[in-house]
Amino acid sequence: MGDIQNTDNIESNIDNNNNNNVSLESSSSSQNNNTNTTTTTTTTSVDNLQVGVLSISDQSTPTIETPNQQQQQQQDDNNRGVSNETIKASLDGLKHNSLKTTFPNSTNHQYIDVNTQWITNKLKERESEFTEKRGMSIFLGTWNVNGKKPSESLDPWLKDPSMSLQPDIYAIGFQELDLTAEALLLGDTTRSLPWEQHILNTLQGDYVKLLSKQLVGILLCVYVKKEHKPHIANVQSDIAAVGIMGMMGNKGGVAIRFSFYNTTICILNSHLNAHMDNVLRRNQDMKDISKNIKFINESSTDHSTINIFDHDQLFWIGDLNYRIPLPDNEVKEKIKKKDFYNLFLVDQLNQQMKAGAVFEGFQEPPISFAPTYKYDAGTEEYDSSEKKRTPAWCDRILWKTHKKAENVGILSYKRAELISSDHRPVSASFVIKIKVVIPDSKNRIYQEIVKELDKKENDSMPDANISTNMVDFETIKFMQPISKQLIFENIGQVIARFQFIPKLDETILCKPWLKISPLAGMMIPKEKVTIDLTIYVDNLTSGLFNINNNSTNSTNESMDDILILHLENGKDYFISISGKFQKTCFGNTLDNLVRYPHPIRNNLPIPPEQKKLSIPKELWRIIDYIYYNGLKEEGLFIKSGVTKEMELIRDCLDTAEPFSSISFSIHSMAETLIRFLESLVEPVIPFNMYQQALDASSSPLSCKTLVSHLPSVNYNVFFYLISFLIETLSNQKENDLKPDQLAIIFSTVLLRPSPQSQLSQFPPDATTVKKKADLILHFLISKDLIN
Amino acid sequence: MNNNNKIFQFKLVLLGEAAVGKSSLVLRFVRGHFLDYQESTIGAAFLAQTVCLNDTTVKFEIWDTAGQERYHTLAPMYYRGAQAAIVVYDIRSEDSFERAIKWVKELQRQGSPNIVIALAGNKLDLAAKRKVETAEAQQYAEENGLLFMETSAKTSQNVNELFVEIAKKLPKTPTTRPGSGRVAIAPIDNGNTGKKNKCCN
Ligand SMILES: Nc1nc2c(ncn2[C@@H]2O[C@H](COP(=O)(O)OP(=O)(O)O)[C@@H](O)[C@H]2O)c(=O)[nH]1
Ligand SMILES: [Mg+2]
Repeated sequence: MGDIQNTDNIESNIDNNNNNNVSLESSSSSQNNNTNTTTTTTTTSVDNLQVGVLSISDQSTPTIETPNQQQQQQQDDNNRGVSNETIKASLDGLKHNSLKTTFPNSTNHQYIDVNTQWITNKLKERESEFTEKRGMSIFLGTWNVNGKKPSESLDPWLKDPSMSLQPDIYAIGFQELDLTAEALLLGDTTRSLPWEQHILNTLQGDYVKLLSKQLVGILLCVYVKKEHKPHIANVQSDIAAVGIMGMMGNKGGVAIRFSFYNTTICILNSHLNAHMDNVLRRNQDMKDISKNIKFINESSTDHSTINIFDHDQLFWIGDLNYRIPLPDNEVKEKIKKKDFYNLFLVDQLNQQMKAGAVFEGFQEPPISFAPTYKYDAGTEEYDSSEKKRTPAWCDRILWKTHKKAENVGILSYKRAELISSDHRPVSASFVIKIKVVIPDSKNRIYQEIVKELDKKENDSMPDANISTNMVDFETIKFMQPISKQLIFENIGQVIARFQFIPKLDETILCKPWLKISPLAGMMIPKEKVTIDLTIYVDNLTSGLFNINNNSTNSTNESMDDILILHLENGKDYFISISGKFQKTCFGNTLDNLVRYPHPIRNNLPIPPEQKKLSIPKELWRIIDYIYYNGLKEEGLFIKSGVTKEMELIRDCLDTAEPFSSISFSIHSMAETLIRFLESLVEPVIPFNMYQQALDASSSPLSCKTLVSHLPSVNYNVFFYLISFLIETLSNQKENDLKPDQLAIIFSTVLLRPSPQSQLSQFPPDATTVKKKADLILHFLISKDLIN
Repeated sequence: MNNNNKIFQFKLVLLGEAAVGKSSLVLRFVRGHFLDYQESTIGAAFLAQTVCLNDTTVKFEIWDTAGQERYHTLAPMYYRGAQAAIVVYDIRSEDSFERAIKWVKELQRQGSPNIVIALAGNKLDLAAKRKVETAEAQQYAEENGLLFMETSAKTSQNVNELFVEIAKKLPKTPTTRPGSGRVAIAPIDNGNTGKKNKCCN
């Protein structure tokens, strides 16, 4: 890239418009020519920005194009004042410059570690307890170099003989460091290199560069003493351009922030808009820059951002361009008399700050030096050109301390007599209180915070008391529900939500014979809840406990379960359930019953090699009783029995006690017969023959065939029962029974689908009921069907 | 650098025969006190406690379990998904030491693959009635890659140390996330859903 050698003459070019093109065209390649032309219009703005603004706003809005098109068009547009493409290019240049962290959209879902966040905040609150203040010095310098390259020694500016010790931090800002088109349009920053080298040479090896950041002509470099390097963290920079549509980088600001030990420091170097009349513009520039510069908040986990004011120490330096609105000769007169006080009274920046219109909360050290602008470059004379610009304190250094931070100590505020530019460099030195962590104290406080959090967390967990962890139901009888109550009491400080939960890898909460109510609930502190536990063993569940095939010992009568009562965010309570099932002839299989010679209650195992009974002895006892005592009873099997009496009958059956020991109505015995048949684990006509039976029901012969295929015990029971029913019907005159009534009653218990089968629907449909009844009815009316 | 960095969260379960001092150890560690008549745990209790190491912070979600044999089948609910376990025995009881060894084996077989197991011989204050020799337990622990410490919940000897050693040994991978063992139906491992979000670049 060709340099434009004569940028230092830009202003005179403008003043003397004829020379403009000549000087630029003399520089180099054709493409540069092109950009040069545009540069003239846009960057000459040091004093003539409005020219640029106007000429650009004459053009239509920028459009987005590919770089190739852009170049091509630039060639075509050669010699045109300012083109869309120029703006576009400068936009690109800025984008390139402003490449920085993209801030995440805060509305996106993200996991936020709130605990860590909370601890970090708490720690910050107690910072003073684990840090000590140490005075450190910071040197800030600002110089508008007017596009000049380094030519003089920087010692008079950067080496402050009044400081006994070397500054701990150097922050050096330049403006108009680079007035070339490349800087403005392409983001070229090579011009800064010789300056940075020059600074490093001046600082002589005791310092390391932290970061430098450039926005076109605005450069900010921060250096720290080597020994401090390990105590620096979170170094970030950002830039903000102001001016034409907020994107022409010839005016704007560059900021660098970092943590210095435990103190956060932000330094901002800006070049605000020029001209005596542009006070409000400058005020706005300052506000725009402060608003647009952002950093990532590294101490938070939620990617929030912070701005320049979120720092313990903020320094704002630069060519702020505020002027002294007095006649030129009057100003010069006062300068001669060193009457800076009266000049300062009317200084625009001073006025604006006093009015609260800009740099709110900022402070500036007292000025005791002559205005730093505008000199004839290379001389000690104020502007002698036709324009005779009134001298002004354009170049300033301000600071602002965070509320809690201690004030800074001013060591010096002065200008240095370097003459190569039309501005004089300015510098200020301060002592600032730096918070230095005392590691032991910090650890202690961190632990205190964490402990406090743990304690709060543990204390805020729900706690409850349960009346017992063991619920013994003792003896549980068939078909006789037993309930027990648990009292669950909230003894904690917070609402307790509870819920019974299944054991690992299980889906059911408890055994099928147990009912829990309620399964879940909540209690406010001190509240009690009664939890009902009910055991009820019915036909479906009794099979689990009764005599069964493979159990050689018959200890399976014990009913055990463990319930897990879970408190949300807290403990689990185990509740052991125990009980002993009283065995009964109900709810067994026919096969087991005929192999069991003892009273069921004897609780003995099924004897091996036991000769089978032809039918269960209990069935025989029931039918035998009815046969001798109730055949003529009116409403036999129609009227219902008495529950209590049926329980007694069941006890007699299970203990082999004679029925004579108890009293009951015949209807209780009749219903016992039906209930007994109903309770069989598998009905007399087995599950696997259910469908066949329905199919056979239309033909007596098919029914006969079906029954002949029953397993022998089932056949025996069927035969015995049907014979008994036929006998019952022979007493029709007395008992008034109808065959179809009996058929319906007994078909429902003799013939039922497996509870797991799809066929088992309740209530069954009418055709199925009819088919079942038909099957039994055939046997009741054709007496020779069974033989 | 400062140590207020990430907090690593781990689920820790205490196992061991009833009355060896599991609950007492937790109580000593978390609340700093000791009860002569510690109510026996019938269920599982949850407490949280954080350990600050030099460079990291480890937060334990502690599940104290019931030691009674009748609840043995429920133990996997609590050790499943646990990254650390303390298996406790009473130095006065060989049976409790045998039981501890069984727990260690069960954990090695069915616990999380990289579970950090610590063996704790508790009631060190009653060393006069010691039945399990330190060397014996020490050797077993070494052979099985366990941390080992003799502790006293009563005098607090080695209690913090025990948890600190575990905290040190736990891997601080960036994927260790504050996954709570206490969501809804808590003890069932919830597979640590949320993902660690790395800083935007
Ligand atoms: N002397 C002594 N007693 C202890 C110690 N730890 C627990 N105990 C007592 O041992 C009994 C059982 O303790 P506990 O914590 O309930 O045992 P857990 O069933 O394993 O939870 C309680 O009476 C405790 O006071 C210890 O270190 N020393
Ligand atoms: Mg316990």
